[in-house]
Amino acid sequence: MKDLRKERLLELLADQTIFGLSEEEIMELGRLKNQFPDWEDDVSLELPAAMIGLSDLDTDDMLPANLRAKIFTDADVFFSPNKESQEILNSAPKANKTVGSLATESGGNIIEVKTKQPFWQWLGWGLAAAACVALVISLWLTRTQKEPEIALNTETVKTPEVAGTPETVKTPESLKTPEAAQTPESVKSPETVKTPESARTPEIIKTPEVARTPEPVKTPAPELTAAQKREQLISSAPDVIQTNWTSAKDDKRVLGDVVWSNVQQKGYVRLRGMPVLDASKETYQLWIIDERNEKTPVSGGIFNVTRTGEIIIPINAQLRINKPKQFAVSKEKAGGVVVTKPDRIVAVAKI
Amino acid sequence: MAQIILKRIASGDKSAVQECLDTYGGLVWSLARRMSPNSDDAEDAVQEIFIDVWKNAARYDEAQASETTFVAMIARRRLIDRLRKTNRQPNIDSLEDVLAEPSGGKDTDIQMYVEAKEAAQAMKNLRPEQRQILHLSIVQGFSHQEIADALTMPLGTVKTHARRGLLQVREFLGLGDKDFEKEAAV
Repeated sequence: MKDLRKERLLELLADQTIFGLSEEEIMELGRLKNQFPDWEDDVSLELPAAMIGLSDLDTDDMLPANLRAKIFTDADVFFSPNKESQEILNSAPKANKTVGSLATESGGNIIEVKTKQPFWQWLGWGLAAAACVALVISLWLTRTQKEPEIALNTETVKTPEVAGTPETVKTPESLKTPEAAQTPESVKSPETVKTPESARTPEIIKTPEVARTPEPVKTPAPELTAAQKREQLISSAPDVIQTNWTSAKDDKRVLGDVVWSNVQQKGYVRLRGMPVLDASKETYQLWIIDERNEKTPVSGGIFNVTRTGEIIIPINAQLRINKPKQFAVSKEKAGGVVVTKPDRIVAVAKI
Repeated sequence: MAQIILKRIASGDKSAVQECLDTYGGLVWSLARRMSPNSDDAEDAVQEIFIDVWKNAARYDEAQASETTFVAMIARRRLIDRLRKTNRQPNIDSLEDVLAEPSGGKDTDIQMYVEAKEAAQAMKNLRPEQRQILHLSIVQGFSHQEIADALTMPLGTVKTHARRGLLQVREFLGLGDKDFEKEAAV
């Protein structure tokens, strides 16, 4: 019994390696691996398959630059020593930038975002806060009419409230950082220090304005027709090639051309005189024969001709084309095919 | 020198990533293009494969295989899984053309990899139908159903030939488990 299960395990491992498994088979394999834990990490079948798979491999093509860049970005995340701290680090600069732009209104927030202070430093701040509270209470007791303004004040607003006392008049000036002193807001609005009304965080009033500024409305560009896109490609791509269609069968006359830019990997087929097909039964399929791998025509997409006259179809190459040698159109069953046969080809365009 | 890339990756040496891409980028890209329905899919697959390579780098055992084979194995695993999930077929060669040409490829096609030569040598020991089916499935990317249709062979027979062929190649390459080698005897 055990041998049969082991044999089945081996079958599934081989099938998985060669063809892949269905969901049911994957579950079955999982159950069997539980019974034979020694085979959990076995790769003795995958390795020979990988070696066989190295045959006929064209590795001349390098990774596309954009893909390479994406992988490096993946690597940045993957090799981050601490993903959580990475996130914090990533978010911190954003917070600083955001708050930094509003530095004159909420300097206290900057301190909170930037650093984590040791306890003894917080203790100092606590004592300072307690002193402020004591001062506020003292002022309240002596000058109760000022209470509402004090209650509204942040650090910057406190200054004018206590301006009556010589000690505190100096405080705001000395507390100004050079940066704050240089900010246009600070320079432009000395009143904010002098007058309690304007000192009530004028920036706070401004801030919602900024926040509410609507994103510039992007008006969608009008969709170009296939003919316009084709013309655009011809005029913009220096490497564009153009070749004419010829009928693969003598009984039909096919007119038109192909334009293709290898740099942009983009092109258009223009055809005239193609027989109309019943779209529920048949379709045309475009093929690109790459010079580097002529035996493997790359599908360029399927299209239907439902009316007579000229049609223009964008080429949708399923793989990157190294150097096109020939384009072909075949007549296939509805939905298209993975591989075609020579007798299905109805038109060719040689480069 | 290439053999130390995965060890460096496993130890968290990010500077090895560039070398990894330089050395195996073309290999992974070629495999992905061969086994993906389109280039967008191939690009997504390549990203996933390299993450898989980094995750599994610590499992690499140089006594078992070269880094090239290991990376190709990780790539194949991911590509087969993607095909299975999307239920799509790769963009593949014409089966008629493939069948018209003997399997195994030209020497020039495989000179880049010693491993490919070894595998090709091992394949020569297989029965013709086993060799053909393994080539069609692993190298050309055809499904078992497509092979069964093309060769007018029952699906079960295709699978059996493929399994036995692979087990024998494993044995010839000296990668097999002793117990299983006996069971794989045909």
